[in-house]
Amino acid sequence: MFKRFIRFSEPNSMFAEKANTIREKFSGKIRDISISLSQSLLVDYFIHNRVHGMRHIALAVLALMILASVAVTATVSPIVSAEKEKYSFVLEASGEAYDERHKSRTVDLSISGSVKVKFGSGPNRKYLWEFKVASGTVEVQGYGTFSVVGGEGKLIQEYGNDVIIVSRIIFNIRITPPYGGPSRIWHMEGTTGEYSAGPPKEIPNVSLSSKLVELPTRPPTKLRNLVLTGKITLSDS
Amino acid sequence: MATLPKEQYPKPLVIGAVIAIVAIFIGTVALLYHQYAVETSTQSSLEDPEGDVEPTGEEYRGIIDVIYVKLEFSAEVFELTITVKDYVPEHLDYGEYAQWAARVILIDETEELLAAYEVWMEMNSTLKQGELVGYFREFGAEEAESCKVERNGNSLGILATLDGLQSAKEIHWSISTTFEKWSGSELMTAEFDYAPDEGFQRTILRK
Repeated sequence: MFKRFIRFSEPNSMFAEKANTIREKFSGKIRDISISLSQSLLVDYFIHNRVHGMRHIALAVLALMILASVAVTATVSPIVSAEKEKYSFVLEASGEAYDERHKSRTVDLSISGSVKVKFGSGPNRKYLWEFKVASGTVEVQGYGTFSVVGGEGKLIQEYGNDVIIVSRIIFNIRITPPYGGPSRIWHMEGTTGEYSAGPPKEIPNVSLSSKLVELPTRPPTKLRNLVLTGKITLSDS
Repeated sequence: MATLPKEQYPKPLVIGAVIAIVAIFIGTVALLYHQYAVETSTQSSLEDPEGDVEPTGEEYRGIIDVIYVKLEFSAEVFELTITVKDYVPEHLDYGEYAQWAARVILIDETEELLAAYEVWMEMNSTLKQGELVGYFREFGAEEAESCKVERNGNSLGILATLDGLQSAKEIHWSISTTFEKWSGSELMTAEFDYAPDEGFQRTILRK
């Protein structure tokens, strides 16, 4: 019956009377009431044996819950990536590919998203750029414009004495037809130029190619020997 | 007779409990995501759908249709086993070329790039009588080193010693397979399969 704490807002002069009232009403269940305490401390200490005991249990449960949450957070700490710089990126590249009639078709690719990189230090350093594609378009001469709805990319760069000695870029992008339908994934690989901290921040001379990609038409249209060149522009996200 | 004021809840306790419950909920979601997003292991595997070879809608060689891939790591040794749809013959016909390749990116404790490798097996009917051979090479290196390969029905295995593997905390890896048929210098057929289909598998290494 006395499961909740009670607080009084009246001044101390009225408190003795109320304490007596409570003592009479809950005779045998109240351990003690002291007018020397502040009104709020009455809640904390001297009301009811059961309430007092339950409060300890509640505090113990609360402490356990906090400890459990700390333990869980510590367990998942590896997914927190630290010290990586994050940018927004736009990759724009153009080139050509050959359709099933062996006819050369111009291809324009524009994709954007976010990229994370951790810059190493020293004369021999390696960078791993991790691209997350959010959206974009692919326009193929004679076949129309298709949407890029996702994908990812990796760029591995190695510098020796401040000169780029390795640059390998890999992109996988998902392409859909303009009005829905089955999508296709384009796998492209290539090289890049040296990262320029700018301004503007950019990775020039991006070259991407694929021996075979498919357009998400019905039926799919094969494009062979796709070769694209362009650049990646970076901006603070 | 004076009336008692309205009863009130012990606010700090309730707020603390709510915070703790929310923290546990967030932690649990993060833990589940963590288990879903990455593997923590000395081995890793992935499954790939059957029949997803490109180009689509045509007959293809099942020897490049990846079904299942297993990676095992111990010290510097990297062992890759690729299971494909069809039995892999001892030799290919003249003009045929097949390749089963892995791209492997090693990342250290501080999330810096340690090294990136290509590890691959191939059968080239115009070289070495088309038998299965294996190589690995760091990205950018001109020379590839040969390594041990094994064929067992529709499974192919390759063993490579990769510098940096012992220091790696995380591996990003993907598989690509290729089959080509040539007539002289003209490419008649080119087929591909990728696993995972979109991107890289991420594996946290257990030390």
